[in-house]
Amino acid sequence: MELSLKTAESFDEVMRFYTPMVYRIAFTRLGNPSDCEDVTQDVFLRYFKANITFESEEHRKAWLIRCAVNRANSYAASAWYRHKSSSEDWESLAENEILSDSRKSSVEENSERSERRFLVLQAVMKLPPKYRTAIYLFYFEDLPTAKIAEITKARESTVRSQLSRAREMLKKLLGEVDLQ
Amino acid sequence: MKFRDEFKNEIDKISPNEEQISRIAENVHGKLYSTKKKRKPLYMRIALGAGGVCAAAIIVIVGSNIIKGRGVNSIEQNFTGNTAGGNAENDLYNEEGYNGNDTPEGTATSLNNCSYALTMDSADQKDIFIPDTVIEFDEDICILKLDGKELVYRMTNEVLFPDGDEINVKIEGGGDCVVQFDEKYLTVLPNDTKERSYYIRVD
Repeated sequence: MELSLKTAESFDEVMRFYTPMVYRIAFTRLGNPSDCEDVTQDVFLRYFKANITFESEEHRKAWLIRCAVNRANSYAASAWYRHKSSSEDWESLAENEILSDSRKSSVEENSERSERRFLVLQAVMKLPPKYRTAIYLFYFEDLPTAKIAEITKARESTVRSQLSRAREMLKKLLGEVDLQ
Repeated sequence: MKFRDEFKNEIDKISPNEEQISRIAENVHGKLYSTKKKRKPLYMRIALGAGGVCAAAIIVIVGSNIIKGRGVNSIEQNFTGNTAGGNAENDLYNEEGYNGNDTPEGTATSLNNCSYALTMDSADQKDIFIPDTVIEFDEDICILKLDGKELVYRMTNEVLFPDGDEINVKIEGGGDCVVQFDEKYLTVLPNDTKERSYYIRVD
């Protein structure tokens, strides 16, 4: 589904369209569903209160990504986050997803695939947080490094080196893998 | 194994489901359009006064505004605690020589800034408040702290003991009534031998 400035007139539409993206960004940083929901809410509250006139849909998306990255980082730096212990961590979430996925078809057919998926997610979540964000924006949102640099207000060379280091780590964690 | 595809596939599953999206949207809307007002600052002062021939008054002050006064009638003169209110106000403002305004209209009249006055007719001691003078707040409670104890004063006459902000308390005795506060009750006692009391119940 494409969202254009014309079709994204209502706040609800924008929120529904971009909530998954904001939530996933929060997830790659925090790894906890409840925290992700909090951050997502906060991002959209800020979006509404900011009342910005966006030049394009790309501009809106970039603003939301930037805000999500910042809010997730702030949340992770908060005393509450640093001191809490949670049973709803990303591993249990991932395991549940895999289990529910496996139930849909035969266990034999999916067990290997599920395990591999889990390993991919596990490996990404083991990366340092700043690498995770870069990995997410590069591999999931398909953003070029220049755009990631612009959004995260970092140098492009920094983003490239983050991705490079992240790939090296992923190779160690996952073995032979096509990271292109 | 192509990392990009596997990662996309897996992280896509982490996306919030419809229920979560609705919950998030609902919460955002709730925060954006909430009509609930923030509670007023709870710095309060309360003065209990007992004056001349009339009985007693309680004045609650939030910030610089008196938001509540409570007077107790004198049986003989049918005053509504305004002398007591005046005395209590004197204590609050250190205004010497002010003895309240002895008019039957009640404590509200005697206290210029008193937005609300609750008066009590001692002839009908079962009712603490006259119904048409029910206090209205932005929220339905105010919090008092007496003798280190915190009271949430609800408009239903209940008084509870949760956390609250600090309140200065002044109690002034005299006349034909005494005001006392014990662990359980805030009590206005006519200064005679009959067992009559007005109280704010503590739950």
